Parts: sequence; C-alpha cells; structure tokens
Amino acid sequence: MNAVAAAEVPTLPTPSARSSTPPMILVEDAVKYFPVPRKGLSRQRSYVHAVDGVSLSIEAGQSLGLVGESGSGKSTLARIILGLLRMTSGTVVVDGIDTTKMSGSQHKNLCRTAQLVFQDPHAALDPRMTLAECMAAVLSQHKIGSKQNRRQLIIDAFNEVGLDASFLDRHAGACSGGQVQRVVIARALLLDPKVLICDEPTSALDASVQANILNLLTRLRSDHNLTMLMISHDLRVIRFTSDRVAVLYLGQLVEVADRDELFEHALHPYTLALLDASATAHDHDGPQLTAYGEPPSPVSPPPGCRYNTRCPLAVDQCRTEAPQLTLVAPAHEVRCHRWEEVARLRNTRMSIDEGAEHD
Amino acid sequence: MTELLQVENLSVSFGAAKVLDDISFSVGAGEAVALVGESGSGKTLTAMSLIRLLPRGAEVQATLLKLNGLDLHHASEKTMNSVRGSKIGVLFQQPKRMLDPTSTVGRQLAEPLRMGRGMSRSGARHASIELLRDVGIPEPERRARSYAHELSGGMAQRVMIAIALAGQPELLIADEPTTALDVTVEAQILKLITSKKRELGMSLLFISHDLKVVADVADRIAVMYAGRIIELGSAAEILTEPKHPYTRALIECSLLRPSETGELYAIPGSGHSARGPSHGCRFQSRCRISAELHIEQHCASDEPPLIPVLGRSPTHLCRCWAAVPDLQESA
Repeated sequence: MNAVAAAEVPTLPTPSARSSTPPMILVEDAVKYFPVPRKGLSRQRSYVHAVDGVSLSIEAGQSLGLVGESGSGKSTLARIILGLLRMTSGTVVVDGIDTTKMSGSQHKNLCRTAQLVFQDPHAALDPRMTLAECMAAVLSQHKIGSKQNRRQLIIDAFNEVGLDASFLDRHAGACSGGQVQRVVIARALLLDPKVLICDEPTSALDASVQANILNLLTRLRSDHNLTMLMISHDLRVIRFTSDRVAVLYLGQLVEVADRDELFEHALHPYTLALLDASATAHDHDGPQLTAYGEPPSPVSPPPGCRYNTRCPLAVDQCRTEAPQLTLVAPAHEVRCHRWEEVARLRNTRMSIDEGAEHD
Repeated sequence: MTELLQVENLSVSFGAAKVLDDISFSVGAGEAVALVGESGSGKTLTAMSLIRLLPRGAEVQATLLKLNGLDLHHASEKTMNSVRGSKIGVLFQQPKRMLDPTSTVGRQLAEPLRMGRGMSRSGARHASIELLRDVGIPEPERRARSYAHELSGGMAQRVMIAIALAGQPELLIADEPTTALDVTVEAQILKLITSKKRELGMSLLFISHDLKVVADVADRIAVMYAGRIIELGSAAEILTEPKHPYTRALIECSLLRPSETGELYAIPGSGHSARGPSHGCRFQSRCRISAELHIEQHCASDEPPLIPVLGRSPTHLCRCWAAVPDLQESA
C-alpha cells in the first residue's frame, strides 16, 4: 500500500489543481437505450433504459469502483467508455479522445489507451488458439514488434502476471480459471494502456484465487500507474481496490463518494441495503434498511425515484418526484429525497450504541 | 437426533482418478448440513451421487448410502426415479437453465404433483398456484402461464423452490442456489429456504463455496478439499474455531481484508496440484502449519485420519496431523 501511496502523492491533485488537469475519463450525461423488439402489431416501441444520464469523472491514476446489481447498467457503461457501444446521447472523453466523434485511427488509439478485463476469462479467449496465438493476435493487429520479438514480449507479459513460458503453447481449456484470468490481464497490458476497466474480474473465481488476482491488479496498478474502473457487485472487492465509489441503480448513479466516506457514512437507502447484504454487514454501523423485492424492469422504470418500489423509507414524494444528485458533504453526492432522514437514523443509532456502552 | 441420511465411505472414481475418497457424513431429521469447498473439491459430486445423477463413466462405491431406511446405493433405477423429486428435491445454481424453456411454469410445477402425488389435472393446477403463492411470487395466476425466459433470476429460483417442494421431499439438496443471484435477492432466497425447511421439517444438504452464505443457513458444516472431508463440525465450531489449516486459510482469504502491507492473504499454490500420487495429506504442499511445526515429512508420507479434535466436542472432526497431540510432542 505504501508503494501505491508514494507513487500517487505527486499526481494527487489539490482542489485548485483538479480543475486545471483534465480527468482521464470524463462521462457527461451518458444515455443508452436499447430498443426492445416490437410485440405483435403494437406501434409503440419500448426501450431498455440501460444507462440513463450518468456523469462521472476519473482522475489519472485514480481507481473508481462501480457497484450495482445485474441490470443496473454497469457493463453497458464500461462498453460506452471503451467506444464499443454508440450512445443514445451524451459525451465521453477518454484521455482527450471524444469517443462520440472519433475517427478510425483515433479508435485504434483508444484501444491502446483503454483495455478491458472480462468477467468470464474462458469466454474471452479463443478456445482453438494457443495462449501465445491469442496474445500475438493483439500485437499483430496493432503492428507491434516483429515475429521474433513478439514471442519475447509475450513471455515478458506472462512473467509479469506470474505465469511461466510453459503456458505459451497451451490452450485456454487446459488452464484453471485463475490462470486464464492472468492471461486475460496480461493481454490487456500488452498495449501498455493508461486505463484498465475490470468488469467483475473475480466473480467467477474461488475465494483463494480471487485474493491472488486482486493482489496482482493492485500491484500492476501501481507499477503501470493505471487509471482503473473496477466494476463489481461485491463491496468487499470494491473496498479493496477503489479510491472512490459510485453506486449505480437502474441506469442512474444514486451515490458517489470517496471510499472511506461511502463505507462509513453511506446515505442512500440502496447503498445501505447493499452494505447490509454483503459480508461487511457486521462492520458497517449505518441503519439497517433491507431492500424489498427485486429490481424492477429497466424497460419501464418506476416514476419518481427509481428505488421507491424497494425502499423502506419511501414516501409519496418519492413516488412522484425524481430526486437529483445532491452534494451532501465534500465530494459526496446522493440521489435521495430522504437522505437527511437516513443521516438522522444513523445519528440516533450511534447515540443509542454510545448509551449502551456507558451502561 | 434421528439420522435421515447416512453416507458412509462414499467414493467416486472415473477410471483411475478417484475424485471422491471415503466421504462419510450424516444429516439428521430437520437438520441443515453444508458442504463447503472450492470448485473441484467434490461438493456437487457428493450430492449428485445420492440421487444417482452422475456423468457417464462414474463408478460409485459405498458401504452405506441410506435415506430414512431406504438403501439408495442398491436401489433399482425405477425406485431412484421415484426418489428424485418425491423424497429428495434439488435446487441448482442456474435456475433459468434448469427450467424447460418450451413449457410454462405452471405445467412444470404440475408435473411432480401429478406424477408424484397422483393429482388430477385441475387439482394440480390449483395446487401449483398455491405453491407459487407460498414461495412469495406475486400474481401467481399470471406467473403460472409465463415461460422461464420471462422470469428474473430470483423469480426463477423461487419457481425452482416451488417445484422442489411440490414433491414434499424429506431432503432438499441446494447446490449453490444463490450464486447466480444479486446480493439483495440472495438474502431473500436464503430466508425463504430456511423458513420452508423449518415449516415442513425437511432436512437440507446445502452446497456452497461462500462461507458467509453457509453461516446463515447451516447447523453443521463439512469442509471439503480435493475429494476429502477435511473438517466436520457444528457451524459455530467451524466458523469461529476452525482447526484445520485449510479451513482457517479459506476463512481468512474470503474476508478480503488487506494486511498491514496492503496485500490480501491468499493460499499459496493451487488446488489443482493437490491430487498427485502422494499418500500424505493433500493440503501439505500449501500448508503453513506443517512447515511451522516441522512435520512436513510426516504430513507428506501419511495421510491423517478424520478424528475428533482433542479438547473440543466429540462431534468436531478434523483431518490434520497438527491436531493430533502425540505428534506435536514428538516433533
């Protein structure tokens, strides 16, 4: 951790400097709707509101954790940032490249700047190619190195993620999930990217392997000074890997804060429900606000606050009026009409606990 | 407690590879036992050999495989067909893949009711709607007419629970039933499974890799490693006072708490190397206790027996030389 901190100190922007250096990733009001196939003869076309007005920025060298349940739009947002999906509206700027109006060569540059680590490593590699061929395909696509020194580049990349040269001529099917995920990470780093987007990198892995991969990602981040977007539904993973955390619900950000602020002073009922359901439940001291039911369909999100159907604190205002992201503390934004009520619950709970200690 | 399920010396091999080795445990009436371990440790294989749903080429050996007096090991295929569903219900990890995509939820629910309990067509229809309501599905009449692809993951798992309960089983096998679900839905499904278990007096064999989930559900836990049970005891014993180095390591790394150096603890080596020709403890090459006590040689040459831990309750069993007092003194 010390190495990470030391590497970051010179680049850590002061509040005044923050505005002068442009962020590595800037997303402004990103919207992505997917059309749903028409049913029968109905004229009306409905849309999946996958990402609905998300704005966020990630400074160079920062790691942002993106949390949310399935269908909340996490992966869609990742694909938008990488330029793999065309947005319905909004702007995304990655390292100075505007992904909405980039040329072919700029797109290739974006590929070298930003790389993706997938959730299912076995699906991310061609099962008929050897691992060396999978890696070499990337190098030849970007015309890096000659045939001879490509193999050396690949061996170096393998060594960096803790694999030896004996893996070069194996197929993905002959390796364990942890080993294949290392290959996927090595491939992402071949082009020396500035940004690494990890889409649930460990959710398909066993507990002991997960710890290994997370350690590897942390080390690579400080070695390469990477800007990271870490997508996960697991708050423990986010807590370990991120500096700042954004919580996504049905295509909208509901809470954004620095890591410790979020884990210690979460104010959105949905964040608290996630904290409650995750393994860190016993060490978070917020009010226990368990979510009702299941997430509604993103085809027709509920009116008002999107979380009102599951929120134990919902009142009439929440069902009619959509809340806006509000700054409630320095660098801490919440989209909730009732965040003050949550804060009050947190305070009373704390005073009860303190009272108990005095007895 | 009367034993509902008794398993003694269960081994499964594929040709020369012995993937399950001498598994013995029991599940009492109304009890929840969890099998915990990483992928490839043999959890699912253990459960599936109870209902004889094994991949081709599997050879099963056991001295005893008994469910409430019925010998599962020697039962005919016809008997097994009636056991599956009516005596033993199963929940799988991928509920949406386990439902038939070409048939409605109602029809799939009616099948065990008509086959297993001999209900009439209309009786089964009413009963299946009641079952759907019972597992917390809103608008059960409408849901009975929907297909698997129209359901969310949590909803599909509720339907699977309804189907499993339709046969009124004595034992419910739940194989990672919440792994594919979101965390907020996971808690609801676990609550549903435990409340149904209590309500119907079923026994539960719960399979999971997630210790946190197991803590919510299980009365007793069996920890598996490379085809062996390496520790067995009450949930409290295993989770708060684990004895086997592997159990301790697994608990430590699933906490995902960084140490002072900022690193997460990870078990060295890989589980895939554990099934070599060695006769010793299968965890030896990754074990730090063995190295600390300087008993590597002994651990590598002889496999420890699964025996009660000294100074603990007689039902807390552990397969580790470091837990055997004589050896520690001699070392």
